[in-house]
Amino acid sequence: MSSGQPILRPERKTRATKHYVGRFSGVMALLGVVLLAIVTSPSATDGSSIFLQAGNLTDILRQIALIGIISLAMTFVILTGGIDLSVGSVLALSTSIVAMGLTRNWQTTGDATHILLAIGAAVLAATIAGIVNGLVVAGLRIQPFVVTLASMIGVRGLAKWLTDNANIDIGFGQDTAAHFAAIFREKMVVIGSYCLLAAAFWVVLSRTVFGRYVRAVGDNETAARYAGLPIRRTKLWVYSLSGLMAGFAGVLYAAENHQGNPNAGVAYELDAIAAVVIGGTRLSGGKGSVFGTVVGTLIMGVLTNMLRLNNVDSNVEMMIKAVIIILAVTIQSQRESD
Amino acid sequence: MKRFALALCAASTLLCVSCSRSSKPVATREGKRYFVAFSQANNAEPYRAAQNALMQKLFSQSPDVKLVISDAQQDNSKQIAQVETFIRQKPDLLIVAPNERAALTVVMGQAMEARIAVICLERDVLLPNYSTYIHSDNLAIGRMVGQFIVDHLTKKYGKPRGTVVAMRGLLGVEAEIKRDNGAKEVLAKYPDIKLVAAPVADWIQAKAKDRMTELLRVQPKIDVVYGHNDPMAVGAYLAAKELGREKEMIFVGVDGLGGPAGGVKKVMDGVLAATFIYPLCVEQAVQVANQILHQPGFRPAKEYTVQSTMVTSENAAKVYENSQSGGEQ
Amino acid sequence: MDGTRYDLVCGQGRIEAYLALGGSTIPAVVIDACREDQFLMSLVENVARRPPSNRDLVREVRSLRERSYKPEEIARKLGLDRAYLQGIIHLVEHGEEMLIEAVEGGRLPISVAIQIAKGTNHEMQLALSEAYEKGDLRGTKLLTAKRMQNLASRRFHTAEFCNIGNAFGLIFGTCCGTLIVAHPMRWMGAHRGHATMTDLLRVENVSKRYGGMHALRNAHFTLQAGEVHALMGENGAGKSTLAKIIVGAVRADRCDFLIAGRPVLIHSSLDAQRLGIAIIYQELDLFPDLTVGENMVVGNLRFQDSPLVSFARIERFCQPYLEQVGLTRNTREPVVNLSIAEMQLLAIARVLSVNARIILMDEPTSSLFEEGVERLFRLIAALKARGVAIVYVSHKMDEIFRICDRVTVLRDGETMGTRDVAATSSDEVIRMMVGRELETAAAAHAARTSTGDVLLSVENLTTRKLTNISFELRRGEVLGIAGLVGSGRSELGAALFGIDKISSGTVCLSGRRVAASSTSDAMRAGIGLVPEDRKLQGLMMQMSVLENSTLSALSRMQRFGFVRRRQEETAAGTIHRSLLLKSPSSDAPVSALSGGNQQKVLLSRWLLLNPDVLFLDDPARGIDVGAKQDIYRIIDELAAAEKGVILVSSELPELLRCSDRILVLNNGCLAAIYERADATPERIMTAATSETNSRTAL
Repeated sequence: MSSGQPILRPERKTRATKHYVGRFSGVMALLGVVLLAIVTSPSATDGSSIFLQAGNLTDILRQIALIGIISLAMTFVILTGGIDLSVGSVLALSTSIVAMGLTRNWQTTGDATHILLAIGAAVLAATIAGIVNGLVVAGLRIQPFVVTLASMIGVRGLAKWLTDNANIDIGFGQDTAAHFAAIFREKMVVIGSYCLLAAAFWVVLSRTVFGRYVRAVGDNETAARYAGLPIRRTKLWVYSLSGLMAGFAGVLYAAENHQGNPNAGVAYELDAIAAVVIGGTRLSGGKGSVFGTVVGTLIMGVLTNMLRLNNVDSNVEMMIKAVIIILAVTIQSQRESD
Repeated sequence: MKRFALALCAASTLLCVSCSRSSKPVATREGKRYFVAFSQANNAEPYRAAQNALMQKLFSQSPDVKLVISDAQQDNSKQIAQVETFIRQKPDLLIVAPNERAALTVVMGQAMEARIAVICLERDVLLPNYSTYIHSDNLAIGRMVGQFIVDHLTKKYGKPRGTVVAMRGLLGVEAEIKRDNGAKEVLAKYPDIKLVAAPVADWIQAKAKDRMTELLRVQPKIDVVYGHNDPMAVGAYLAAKELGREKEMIFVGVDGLGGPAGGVKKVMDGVLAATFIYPLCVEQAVQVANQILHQPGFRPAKEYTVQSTMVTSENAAKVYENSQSGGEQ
Repeated sequence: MDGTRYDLVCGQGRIEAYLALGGSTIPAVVIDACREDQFLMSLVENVARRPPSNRDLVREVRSLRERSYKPEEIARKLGLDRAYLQGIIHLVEHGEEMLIEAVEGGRLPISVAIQIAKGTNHEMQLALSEAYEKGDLRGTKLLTAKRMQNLASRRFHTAEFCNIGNAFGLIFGTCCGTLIVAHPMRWMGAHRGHATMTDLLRVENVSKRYGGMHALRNAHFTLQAGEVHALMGENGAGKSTLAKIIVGAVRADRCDFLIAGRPVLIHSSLDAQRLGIAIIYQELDLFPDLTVGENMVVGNLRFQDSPLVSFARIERFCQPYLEQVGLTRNTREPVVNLSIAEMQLLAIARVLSVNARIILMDEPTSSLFEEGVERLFRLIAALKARGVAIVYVSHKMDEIFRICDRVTVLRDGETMGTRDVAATSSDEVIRMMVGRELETAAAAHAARTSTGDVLLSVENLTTRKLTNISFELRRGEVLGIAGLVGSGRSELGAALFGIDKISSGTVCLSGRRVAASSTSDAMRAGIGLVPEDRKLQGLMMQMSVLENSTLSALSRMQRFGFVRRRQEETAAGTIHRSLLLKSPSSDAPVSALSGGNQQKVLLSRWLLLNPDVLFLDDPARGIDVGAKQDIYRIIDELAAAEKGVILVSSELPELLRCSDRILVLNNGCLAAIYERADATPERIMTAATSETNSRTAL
C-alpha cells in the first residue's frame, strides 16, 4: 500500500515491539551465531562438539579480551560522537614499555614491585597519550578523527623509537619478566579482567553522572552546551579512558605474546570500532551501550572461532565479517528509521 | 520483514560457505586418514606463499593426508588463536611457521602437551616446544654472501677493496640479524672493503628504492649492494637505473624464490648478480611429516638444517626451470 | 455530451483494466496513470464525437506499413485524417499488442486506443478541465477514494488488473454518467476560482503541517505576468514555507497550482525549473567551493544537453547573464572569494539563466548594502518590463511600497487578503499582519505588580550582533522581547548566557557583576536559558524524558558520581506534574513526545535548576494551544515566585499576554521599551520594522 493517504497504524504498539526487538536484536544475533557454530562444529573423537568444549569456549573469551577491553572505552569515545584511531598504537607503546621495564634490571626489592612499576609506567604512558588526544580534541576542537589519526602515527613512531624497532622478548626463565608473563597470560586473569572492566564500564555508563554526560554530549553537543554540561572535561575523560584501556590491553598483550612489540596492534582500532558498531552504538554518537559492545565483541569472536573450527579460508573469513558488519548496521538504521 | 530476510540470507551464506569449505578428518574404510594442520605466519609474503604452494603439492601426493593451512596475517594474537583452534581439532600433525619467536612459544607448548606432533618450520621459538625444528641457516647464508662480495671485488680490482651498501630488513628480526652478521663477519677481515651505508628498508622493495635513491645522491661510488632479500636488492637496482648508475655496481639478494617474480628470474634477467636461495624447508618438512605419520615409532631429530644454494647467471636458468616444475629448487 | 457513459480507468495496468471490462460496448475512456501520490485530474476528450471504430482499419494500416508505404500514401489511400493515421501507426509500431487485439476484436474504438497509447498526463488533465468548465461533466457523482475502491473491488476483480496501491491515481468509473474521482476535493478546488487568463500563476488551497502545527492553511494568491508581488507576514506566518512549496523545495500536504490556467504539479525543484519558476533564497544556496560558472550551471536544465562540460562552454553560457546583473567576476573564480552582495548577484544571474518566468525572492535585501539594493531594484524593474513576475518576500515596509505592485498578507498560515500597493497604507498592512490579536491581547493579562528590586541590569551590552543594549529586569517581572528574526533577540540570550562573547558593556545580577564566559558560569551565577530551537539546541533526542529533564541539575542528584535515581525521579516527577507533562513514561525517549510536551521537558530542565533569571527564547513556538497555555501559566508562576523572566517571542499576542514591559530590538539595537499599557501591536511592529537604525549595525 503506497497510496498518498496516511495509513492509520497502531503506532504505539508497533513502536513498543520494535523497541523490544531492537534492544535484543544484538543478543538474538549472538544466539544465532552461537547456534550456527554449534550446528556446524566438527565433533571431537568422542563425538562431542568441539565448539562447546569448555577449553574452546574460554579460548574464545581470551581471544576477544584484548579487543574487548579496547572496545569498552571505544564505546564511550564513540558515544560522545568521537573516534579513537590511536588505540592500536597506544597498545604497542604500552606493550613495549612494559617489556622494557621488565627486562631492565631495576634493583627493586622484589618481583611484585618491579612488575607493578613496569605495568604502572606502561599504563601511565598510554593514559598520557589518551590525555593528549583528549586535550587536543576538547581544547583545540579539532575533529577526533584527525587528532587520533595523527596520534596513531605519532605514538607508533614513539614506540618504535623507544624500542629501536626491535621486539623485546620476555623469556621463560625464572626472572621477573617471565613471572609477569606467567601471571598475566593466565586465561582466567585475562578473561577475569575483561569481565570486571566490562562490568565497571557498564555501571559507569548507566549509573553515573559521567555516563549520562557522555551520552548527552554525543547526542547533541550544542544542546549539551546550552545545558551547561562540562563538555571538555567529559571528552578529556573519555579519551583518557581510551588510552588507559589500550594501555592495559597492551600489558596483557605483552604477557600473552611474551614480548614487547612496537609493531603490535595494527588495525586493532578497526576491530574495536567494528565491535562497537555491531553492538548497536551509533557512530555519530549519543546512542549505544556497553552491553551491546560486549555482545558485538562476542559475535565477532564466536564467528571467528566457528569459521576457524571449520577451517574456512581466512580471506573468506574477512568477507563474512564484512557482511556481518553491514548487516548489523542495517539492522540498526532500520531500528532508527521507525 | 526485510530485516528477517537479510538475516536469513546472511545465515544461509555463512552456512554454505562454512560447510562447503569444512574439512574434518574422517576415518574411511580404506584406513586411517591423517589431518595435518599448518599455521602459516603470513600468506602475503611471496616466500611463505611459495611454502604453502609447495607443501600443498607435496602432500597431495599422499592421498591419505588432509592438509589445512591457516593464515595469521602477520599477527601474533591471530596466530596464537589459530593454533589454539587447531589444538581443539586434534590434528595428527601440527606444522607452525611462527610469526615471531616469543609469541608462539606458549601455545606450541600447549600443542605438545595435547600430544600433538609439532614441526616448527623455518623460525624457532624461545623454548624447544616442538618435535622437530626444520630451518635454514641465515648466518651461513650471510657468510656465503660475504664471500661472494669479496670474490667479486677481488676480481674487479685485483685485490679485495671497494664500497658495499647493505639494504637491511625489518630490524630486530632474526633473519635480518643473522644475514647481516654473517656477511659482516666475512667482510670484517678485509679492511679495504668499506660498508658505507646500511639503510633499513623493512624487506620492502618500494622502501628500498627510496632509501637507495637518497643514498645514491650521497655516495659517489658504490660497488656492491647487498639486499637482505631479493625485493630490496631489486628496489635498489631500480633506483640506480633511474639515475643511470646501475652499471657501476652489482646487486646481490637473498631468498632466490622461483617463478616470474622471484629472485632467480631476476638473476636470469641480469638485474641481480647473484641470489642465495633461502630454502623453503618444505621438502624436508614434508618428508619428516610423512615419516611421523606413517612410521609408528619414528623419532625425528630435534633439528634439521637445510643448506642454501648460490644462484648466479651460470645456473639461474637451470634452477628456474627446476622451480617451475615444482621442486624445492 | 449529456448522457454519455463513461468508463474511466487509470493507474498502472490501465490497459489491462479496460480489457478486463470485457466486450463492453460502453465508450470507454482510459486515462493515463499518474505517478504514485500524484493526484489526478484527468480525462480524455469527448469520445462520442470520434468516428466509429473500424476493426479492419488497423489490419489495413499494418499491412500497408509492412509493405513500406509512407504515411502520406496510406492517408491518401484510405482517406484518413493525417493525425488520426499517425495515431494508428503509433499503435501498430509501438507494439501495443493488447490494444490492437482489443481493437481488432471490436471491443475498443480506435480513437480510445490511440488515446491510451499516446495520451500524456498533461493533455488529459487539460481536456478534463476543459470538459468540466464547459459543463460537460455536470451531474457527475464524485466519490471518495475509499468508496471508489470498494466499488471497484465489488464490481471487478480489481486486484487483478489495477494496482490499488496507486489509489491516488486511480480513477475508476463504471456506472453511467458517473465519474469517480479519487480526490474530489482537490478536483473541485482547482475549479472553484474563476481563472482569468492574465493570471500567470494561481496558488490555491496550500496547506502544510509540521507535526501538529499548521504552517499553512488554505493559503492562496495569484500572480500576474510582469508584476512584483509582495508576500508579507509576521515571523512564522508561512511566507517562506509558501515560497518553498511553490519552487518544489518543500512538499505541501495539499496544494493546487495553475500556470496560465493549466493545473500543474510541482514536486521537485526540477519540476519548478521546467515550468520557469526559480527562487533566490535568503541564505543563498550557492556552493562556496565551486566556481562562479559552475554555480551557474549545476542543476541547470538548460545546460544539460551535452555531457561534456568545459570551462569555455560554461563561460559562453554564463557571460550574458553575469553582464546583465553587473557581476564583473571571472567565471572560474571560486564563490568563496565573492562578497555577500556579489553572491546575491550571482544567485540572480542563475535564475535568469534558467529562463525563469516567475522569480521568488526571499528577503533579497537582507544581506545587501545600499548600493546593492539599488542595483537589485533596477534589475527587478528590468525583469518586470520583460514580463517576468516576481514574488517578493520581505519584512521591510519601505521596500514593499517602493517596488511592489500588490501585496498579499499571510497570518498564521492563512491568506488575509491581497491589496494594491497604491491603494493601501503601511498601517493597513501591519494591521492585516497582526490581525485579530488586537482585541484579545491585552485582556488576558493577569494583573501583576512588579515592584521588586532590580535583579538584572544590563548596560551598554555590545557583542558581534548587538550594539549598546541597556535595560533592567526586576524581581517578579516578565520582560518581553520583540523583534524580527535576526534582530538580535536570540543573541541577547546568547550574550547573557555566556555563549556569545561580550565585547563591551556590563551585566550585573543582584548588583554583582557577572562575566560569564561559558554556559556553566552563567548557570552558576543564576542565569538560565531555554533555547529557541529545542531540537538543535535543547534536547537530546535519543535520551529519555527523565534524563533530559535532570541533565543540568545532575550534580545535585549524585553521590560519589553515581546518580541517585530515586531523588532524580522524585524531583523530575514533581516538576513534570506541575507542567502537566504528558508522556508514556519517564523512560520514554523524548523524541516520542509531541512538540508541546518536548518543550515542557526542556522547560522542566531549567525549572529544576531554578535560576534567578530565566531567558525563554520563543518557548511557545510551534506548539499547540493547550501547551502554550501551560507555558504561560508557568511564566506567571515564575514571576509570582519573584524570579525574573525574559521572554522572547515571535508572536505579539503572546508578548502582550505575558509581559510587564516589552523591549523591541531592531537590527541589534534597542529600538524601544514599552510599558505594557503603552504597548500596541502597531507600535511594536513599527519599532521592529522601521529603517531608522537598521543599517548602522552592518
